[in-house]
Amino acid sequence: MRTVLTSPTKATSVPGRPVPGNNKRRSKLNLGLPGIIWVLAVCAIPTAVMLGTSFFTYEGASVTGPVTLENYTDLFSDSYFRSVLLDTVWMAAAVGVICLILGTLVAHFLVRSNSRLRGLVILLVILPLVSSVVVRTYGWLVLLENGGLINSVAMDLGLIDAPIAFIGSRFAVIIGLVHVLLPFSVFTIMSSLQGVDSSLERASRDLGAGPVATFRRITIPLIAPGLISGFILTFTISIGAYATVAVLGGGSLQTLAVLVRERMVTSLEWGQAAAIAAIILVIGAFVVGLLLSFSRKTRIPGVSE
Amino acid sequence: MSITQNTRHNAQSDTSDTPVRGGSSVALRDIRKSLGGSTIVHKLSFDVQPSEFLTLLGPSGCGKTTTLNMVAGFISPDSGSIILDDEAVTSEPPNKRDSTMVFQQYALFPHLTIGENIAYGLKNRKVPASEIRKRVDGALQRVGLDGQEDRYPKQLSGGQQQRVALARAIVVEPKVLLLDEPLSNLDLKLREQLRLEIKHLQRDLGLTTIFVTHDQTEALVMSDRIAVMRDGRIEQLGTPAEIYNSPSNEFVAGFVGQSNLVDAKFLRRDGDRCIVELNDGTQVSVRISAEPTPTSDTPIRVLFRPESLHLIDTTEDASSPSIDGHALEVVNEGDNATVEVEISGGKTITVRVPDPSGTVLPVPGDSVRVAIPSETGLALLT
Repeated sequence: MRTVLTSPTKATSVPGRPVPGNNKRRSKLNLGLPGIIWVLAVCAIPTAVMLGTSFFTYEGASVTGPVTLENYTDLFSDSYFRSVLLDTVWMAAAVGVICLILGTLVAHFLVRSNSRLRGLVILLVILPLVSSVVVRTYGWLVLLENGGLINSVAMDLGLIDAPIAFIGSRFAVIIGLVHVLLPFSVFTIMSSLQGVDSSLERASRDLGAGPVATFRRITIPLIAPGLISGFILTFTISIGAYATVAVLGGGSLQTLAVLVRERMVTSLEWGQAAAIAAIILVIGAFVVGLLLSFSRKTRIPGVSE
Repeated sequence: MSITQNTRHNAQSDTSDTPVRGGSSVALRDIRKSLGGSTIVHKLSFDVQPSEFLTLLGPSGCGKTTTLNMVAGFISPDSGSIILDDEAVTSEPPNKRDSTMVFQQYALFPHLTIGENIAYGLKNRKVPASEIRKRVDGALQRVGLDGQEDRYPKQLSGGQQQRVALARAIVVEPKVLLLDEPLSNLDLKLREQLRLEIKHLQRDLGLTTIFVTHDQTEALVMSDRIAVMRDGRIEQLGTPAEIYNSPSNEFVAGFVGQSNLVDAKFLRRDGDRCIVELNDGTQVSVRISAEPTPTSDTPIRVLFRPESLHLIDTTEDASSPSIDGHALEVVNEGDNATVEVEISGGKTITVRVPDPSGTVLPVPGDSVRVAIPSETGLALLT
């Protein structure tokens, strides 16, 4: 990952002030320590607790038996759970792909054009990030519900006879997620695109390729690392997304995250809730690993990371 | 620097193993372009003959690169037309124009191998695969990189990358080859070597070429004709010898080659020569190209190239006009030496001494006499 997932690993040295080699490691560790403690406290430990929980059965808050794989075997033998699992992955993938396509187009416009509309477009892209999830999601609800703006206008115009049930459909959830996740892919792809010398695109045109062929054969391969990062971000966030899904899903659409809450709060099956959460984690990690290894394999020889 | 009269090269007479293509002509007519309120190119017109190597030479910001980009189709002119082989291509996009460019930054596709880079233009032109293979091999051989087709651009040196870019541009046999400062990213040795290679290749193939550079030596060495540009206009268009020996104004004289510009007074016309009087009263016969003839006593400038002047003994009774002064700086570079001479009025002029090993050079402070062989100077109107 050339652009996004690099971490600043090189210690910065002040020119003209030699830093003794053996001090370097210690000072780096000291500086990193607060961060490491923070990550351990809020991320690693809770995750470990959650993973541990998934291997016990619970009655309310009390453990009822020894270590077991029962939570997982129960889940995977349940056809309803399997369909929710597939649904969730399918929707997250759809969100990822749509963000990828829209993000690439928007990023290309923002990087390559010198139009006056650039500022406005950047504002529009950032807006969903800075607005609250409640406002954003209920905004879509107002637009999409049966008596909502879209349905009533369409009915008044005579385009449809009965309201379309957007709410509770995958369509509504995908729209809501794409809306909030688009900035992630736009900015990831933008930084990748900024690293591509525009004279390469000109050279391609000069050698007889049209704009579409140039985009497909030159631009896309060169921003592939950015595309992969962007997809990873939007996919992994989507697969565990809860609030948007809960509201726009209208209570009828189930995803893994909704299921976690249901098992946790409604049926009090903490072990199963933890197991589902662990499954979300594993799917996310699997996809990240797969894409990163793919991106490593397609690295361009001679080009330094 | 001395330029011998450079005869136009006749591509047909070249003993080359490849057939020479006819070459195409390019014409620009009244091209105008402004960007962000300022005019970059003013009503520019010029012709490039078939198989000619034409150089657009000028300082940065003179509009030479913009002009080249308009020929390539990356920028469209505000008005005027661009004609390629009697066909107006002014509104055609770059992929529909039969021209190819070699970029300053090479612009090789980093994710494609050398072979794929060179084949790129051929694939777009729907050339059959078997022929692509043959032509890629041929192009690689031409630039001395045979066997490198499976490597990637970033695995090659700068000079090799620019050779690949050249191969990629010529393999499609374009009507016109556009070179956008292709040598300016390379170090001096490589630059000197590559400019001869490019010139040789261009001559061999009889390729009509437009070359953009700010380097006067490159322009003088490589071009059939040079267009010296300033502020979006052509100051002078001519062969390297014409540009060097008879610059039309001070800008061209100063931009191409080293020049001594000496203030003088116009006295009278003498055929195609004229007699001028230098500040110290010396009268010199110099060439004059500018019309109209100035009136008597008009202040003018006279151009002397450093190599046309020579130092003589102060006791020697000069047969030709001379200026007295004293040496300020003496630089011996082995094959030639340069002497800076301060003359009356605090002006300095530079004199080149060829092959200084056989002569006694003055030391700074010495009184020297600079001989001006007749008809070596050129009068420029100020």
